[in-house]
Amino acid sequence: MTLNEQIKNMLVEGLNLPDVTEADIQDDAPLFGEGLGLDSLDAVEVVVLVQQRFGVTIRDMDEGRVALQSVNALAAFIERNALK
Amino acid sequence: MSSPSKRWNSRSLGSRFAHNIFYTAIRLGGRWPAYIMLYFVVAFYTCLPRVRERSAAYRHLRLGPRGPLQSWVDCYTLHMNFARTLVDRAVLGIRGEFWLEAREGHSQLLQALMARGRGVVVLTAHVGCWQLSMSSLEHIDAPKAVVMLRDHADVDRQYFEHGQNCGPGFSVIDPRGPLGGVLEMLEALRQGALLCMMGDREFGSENSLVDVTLLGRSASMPASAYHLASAAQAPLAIIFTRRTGPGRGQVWVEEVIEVPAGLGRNSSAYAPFAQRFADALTSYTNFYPFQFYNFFDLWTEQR
Repeated sequence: MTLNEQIKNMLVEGLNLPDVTEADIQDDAPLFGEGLGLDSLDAVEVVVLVQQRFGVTIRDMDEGRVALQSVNALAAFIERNALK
Repeated sequence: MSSPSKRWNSRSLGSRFAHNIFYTAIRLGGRWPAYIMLYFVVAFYTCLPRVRERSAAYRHLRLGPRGPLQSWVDCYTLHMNFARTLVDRAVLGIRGEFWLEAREGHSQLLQALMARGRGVVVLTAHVGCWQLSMSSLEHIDAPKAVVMLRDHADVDRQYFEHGQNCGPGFSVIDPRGPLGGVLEMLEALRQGALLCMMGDREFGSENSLVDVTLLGRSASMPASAYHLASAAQAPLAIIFTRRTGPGRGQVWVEEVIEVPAGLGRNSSAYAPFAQRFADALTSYTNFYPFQFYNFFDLWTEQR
């Protein structure tokens, strides 16, 4: 399973998204607002899930704004920070 | 908490000029000239039906049916108490004068919660002298953050915005920021901060609202504080205040709520905790019916 697939699995299972499958999530589609349609409180859940599943912490607004843009962006952030 | 669609606003009734008259009076003569001016100002605004209407739902639920004269007096009393807390806040900011007494065990309980190292969500409501409750936290040696949403037409300054006698060391998190500021809130808790939030007003997202019973009727309240407490595994302390006299108030921890982890994204999972807050608020209004300052209908159908 690729990292992008793991992230999609995390989003679907971890957030318990109704009527959304991993195949429905585009790699470069926005996670929040339009796109997957997550809202700000979902960001809290995503941050916690990323920490639990990947051991990577999104620490602040600047990091989060970039990392939570899309699956691709989140994967890049995890790869970058998992190496540290 | 993004895309605000809130039912309330923090727009000041008076103009900036009118506020500055009060600030000048306080600088020159202290609190009493400002208190005296309030008799005329509050009477004027209480005569305006649109102003009285703002608190009508609360007064009807809490005080029951009243005749026109008694209703006017109730409204005047509520407005006067509110106006006095605003004067007290300005006096604290300008002259550094306010005496906030903590009930027995208040500080020790907060210190014990802070010692867990996971931060504390401090949840309060628009009651008593809530703006001044933050001053009771100044002595706690920890980072502090306050979630605050202000309308552009809100010209009434917080006490720490008067430029002197401030320094409470609070950082302000704007819920209109990216992702509703939740990442900043979460990070504040991770750093062991006191994170102050209001539990009785939504910041916009209907998804973050849950149904509770407040004063016997269904109302919508935000679930975001409980969601954050769950995610950060931080204790949540409900803190209330009451104004006890001129320049005096009392603060206490009403209840500590432990929100379990893993409740997920569905706001309804947090409804039992929001209900505990609503119950505490209902109990508060039983003791202090004229110190409840939500001047909008909390009970209107929101969803």
